[in-house]
Amino acid sequence: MKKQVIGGNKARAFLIFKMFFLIVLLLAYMVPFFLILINSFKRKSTVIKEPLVLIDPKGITLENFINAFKQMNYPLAFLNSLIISVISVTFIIIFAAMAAYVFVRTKWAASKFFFALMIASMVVPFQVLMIPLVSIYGSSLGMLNSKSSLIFFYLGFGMNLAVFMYHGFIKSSVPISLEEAAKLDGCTKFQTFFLVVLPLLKSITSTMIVLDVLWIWNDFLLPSLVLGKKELYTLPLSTYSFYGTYSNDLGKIMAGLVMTVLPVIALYLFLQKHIISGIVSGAVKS
Amino acid sequence: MAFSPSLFRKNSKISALKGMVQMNEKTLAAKTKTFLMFAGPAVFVFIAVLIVPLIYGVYLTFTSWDGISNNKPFVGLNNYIEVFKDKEFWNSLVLTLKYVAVSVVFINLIAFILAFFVTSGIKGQNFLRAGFFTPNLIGGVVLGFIWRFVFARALVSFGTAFDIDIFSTSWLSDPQKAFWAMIIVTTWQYSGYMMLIYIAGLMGVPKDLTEAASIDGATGFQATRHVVLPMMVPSFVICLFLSITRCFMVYDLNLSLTEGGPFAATRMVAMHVYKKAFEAKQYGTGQAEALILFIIVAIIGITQITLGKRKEVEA
Amino acid sequence: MKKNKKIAAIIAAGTFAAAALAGCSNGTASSESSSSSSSSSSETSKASSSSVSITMLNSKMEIQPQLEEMAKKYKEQTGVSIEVYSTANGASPAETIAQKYAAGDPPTLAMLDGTDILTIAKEKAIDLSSEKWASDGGSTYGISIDGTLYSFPFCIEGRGLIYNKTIIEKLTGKEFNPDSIKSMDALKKLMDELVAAGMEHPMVINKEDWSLGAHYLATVYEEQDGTAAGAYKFTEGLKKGTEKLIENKRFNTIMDTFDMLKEYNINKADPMAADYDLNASYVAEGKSAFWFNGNWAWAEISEYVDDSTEMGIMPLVQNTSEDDFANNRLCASGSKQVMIDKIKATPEQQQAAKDFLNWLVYDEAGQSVLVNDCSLVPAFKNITLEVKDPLGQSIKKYVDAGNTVEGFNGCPGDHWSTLGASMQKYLAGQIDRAGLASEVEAYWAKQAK
Repeated sequence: MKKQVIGGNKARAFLIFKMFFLIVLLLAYMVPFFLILINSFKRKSTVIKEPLVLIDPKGITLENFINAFKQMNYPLAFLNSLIISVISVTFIIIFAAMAAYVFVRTKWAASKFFFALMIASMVVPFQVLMIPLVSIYGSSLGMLNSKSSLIFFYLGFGMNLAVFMYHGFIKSSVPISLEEAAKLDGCTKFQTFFLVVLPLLKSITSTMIVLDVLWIWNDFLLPSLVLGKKELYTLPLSTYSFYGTYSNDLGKIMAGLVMTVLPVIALYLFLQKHIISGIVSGAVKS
Repeated sequence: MAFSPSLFRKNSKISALKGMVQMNEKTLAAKTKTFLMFAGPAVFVFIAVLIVPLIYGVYLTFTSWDGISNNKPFVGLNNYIEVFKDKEFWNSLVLTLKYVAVSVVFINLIAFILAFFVTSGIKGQNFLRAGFFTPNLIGGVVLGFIWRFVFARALVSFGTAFDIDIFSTSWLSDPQKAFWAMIIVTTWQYSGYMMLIYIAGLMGVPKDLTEAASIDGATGFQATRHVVLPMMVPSFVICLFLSITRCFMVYDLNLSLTEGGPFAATRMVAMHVYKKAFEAKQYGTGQAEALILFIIVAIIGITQITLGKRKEVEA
Repeated sequence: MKKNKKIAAIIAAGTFAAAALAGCSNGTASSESSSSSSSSSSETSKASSSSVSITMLNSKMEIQPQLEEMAKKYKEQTGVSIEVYSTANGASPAETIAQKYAAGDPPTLAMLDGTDILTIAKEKAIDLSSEKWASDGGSTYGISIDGTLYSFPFCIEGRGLIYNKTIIEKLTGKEFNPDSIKSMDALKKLMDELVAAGMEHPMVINKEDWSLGAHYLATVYEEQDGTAAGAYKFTEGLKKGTEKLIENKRFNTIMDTFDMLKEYNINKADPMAADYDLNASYVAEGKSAFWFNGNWAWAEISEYVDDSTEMGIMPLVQNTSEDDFANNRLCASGSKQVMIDKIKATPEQQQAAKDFLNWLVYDEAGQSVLVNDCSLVPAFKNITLEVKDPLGQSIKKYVDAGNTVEGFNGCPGDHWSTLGASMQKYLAGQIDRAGLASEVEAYWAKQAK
């Protein structure tokens, strides 16, 4: 990309500064991840004694990955994680965007009340809800040990943040004039929403997808409460046999982490393109 | 259906003149229908999964339940009185406040600068964005191990080799330094997350606005200050809220990095509450503390949002 | 065009969702049916019913794979299926069992810590007093409340000073017999010899609050008179304020030893930066000779040790007298206790659970699981299998001779983390002994409500 730097030498210097700052910071940020990667190829004893060494003196070992893969029952766990994440995120996005839309565009008491309630609820510590949730849905309703229940819970817990995000972005990125024009052109409310409003929210939608997938994919606590049977385990749950009472099998844990996290990184890289290219200029220009 | 720009302009002028709002249902029945159509599913799951257990959870704070017994004796406000007497709760709250104040500043400053640099069209920015975001993918025990290694071993060898006093002993063995270790790791973990939101915000600023500004003679800096920043207010509101609330509730990081140590000196309030409920088996008191914490953070959060929303610019 | 694409996308998503949900519910249905009826097997000699399945909560995560193997073998042998699941990382057994009861889904067999049994057994566990194994060691090491036995001691764990015999003998040039060390001074003398022979720091001390609080400090209570009742009386005295810790003889002799050991601590430069796994490697590889810990540490030590190294555990010696029980007996107790649920388990399930426990004690295959596969020290007199690891063998020696100090389960749930922090301050030199005593007393005073 040929850069036309407006402003001459001062801007060029700033550009160099920017690059330098970013690269140094990036290296610092990536060090821990790099450490995890190199350590997943080492034996446990080497991990403890020489975490910094690049290659295990006794030789690179794939045993952590192989053992972790088997113990985690990776394909099944991956499938469970995938189903739960995809379905939950899809519905969180759709429901939340719709709700945020009506909260922004109307001044009704119900809109204001529920929006405020949702914001306030973002601060509720999960610990307060943990046992009551499990008592009500487990003891009283017998709904536990099912993926659908877990998805239902993720929808409930994911609403507040998603609504909050969409609220801000609908307000600032979707000009009401567009909606009115659509209405004049004969669109129903739903059509206006799905055909006019939603496309304008591509960047926040992609962001929400990444954030929610990240949360749900890596979540440990809620699945551990809801999914009791081993064949239902998600990826994070399937690694918990690597943790001992006093000490942990670090090599396997790291291998498990790498295998758990790789799909999310892939998703992120894929969506990046959409976050950039899906931009529609909010104002009207040919 | 193709939209034509000129038609838009004409129609928007008309509708602006008529003062129409998109959702202008007049009757209560119509309003209810629209509301349920759009917000119904969201509100339903939200109430079923979050509000209902919350109400039950609040009820439990009025009992002296120990977390497992069948008996849940009602004790009225006793637990709340206990909370006011629990000195460690208030101490850990103050400690957490300090931690939040510093972390939020660092996180948002770095996140915003990163987002700004990384959307300015420089080479390799996709790669950079992915890179800065990855810290967010690591949590739990692994995060703790890695950073504990960094502070207790890597930096210590570095410090003793080059005779730098401040790094010669593990930062995690000293209460003050452990506090700063927590701030560093928190910043590392969350700045990528917030950066993502700032990027979405920056990308949502219409390019033609900034171009118009520069055509009008504004320098890059002025364009940023007067055009970009005001449009970024929603992102600021969101990021400030998220960073404040997440830092207040910090637990996983607290546990895996310092375990609240050394000598419980970095025990933040969420960890204190957790130990109260599950270790000391004072479930009712622990819950009451959690609720009070929630009220405090909610007040702070809502205040911040209300102030922020006032400044939001409509498209 | 755009409209059609959108509709197609929504339909696709809907279909996918519907299919997946159908898949989910199928998954649930099939898992439910598989758990409620086990496959029929003609060998149902041990089980009272041919299609019983029970669940077991395992809180010793390191033996989870072994227990799963065991469940398979048990099924083949008896037709009863046991689903074993372990506690989640970071969650204590107390928390996990609380969640399970809250969810209305408690395990038939729950392996918990002693304190947990004391809290919930009366309400939730069945009476095991009349089981055969109770008289073979069960009642000694299991937990009883008001005369009723409620739990099965799954294993015995003991703690004291782990020592590396091989390196000690190598450096001192003479045979090392731990029985010859019966005082703090004798131990110090040995340590000085080791230092002179080139071992800079012969002692390893952990920084973990559970190690210092639940183990080291608890020894003070347990060794008041060597019985749990004595420990209870003492802590009641601390609650009421009638006991003054700083004047207590046992407190002072134990802390004297602690002070001495601190001097030789390999982590002396920065005691709070100690790393548990590194500590294991120090004593396993002979960089150090002694480690205050318990036989559970073999799991970590075995990573570094080579087969020819001899190790063992000896009591935490103090300057009292040669025949002070504390210098001759090891602190050992049933660390993991198994209870049987009475709230949700059906009579068939309870019987199947009892049969399983009997199998562990009396069937060769069961005994082999405990001793050979899980490397545990069993609590039952009749099990004669040779304990696999040297630390476990040390423990068994003391157990068989009746030379143990009874474990005390009466510390409140937050004892180890609160007073562990105080002990850490003492280790790091932040408070002195009087300060430590007053913090301990303040804690117990708060417990008196």
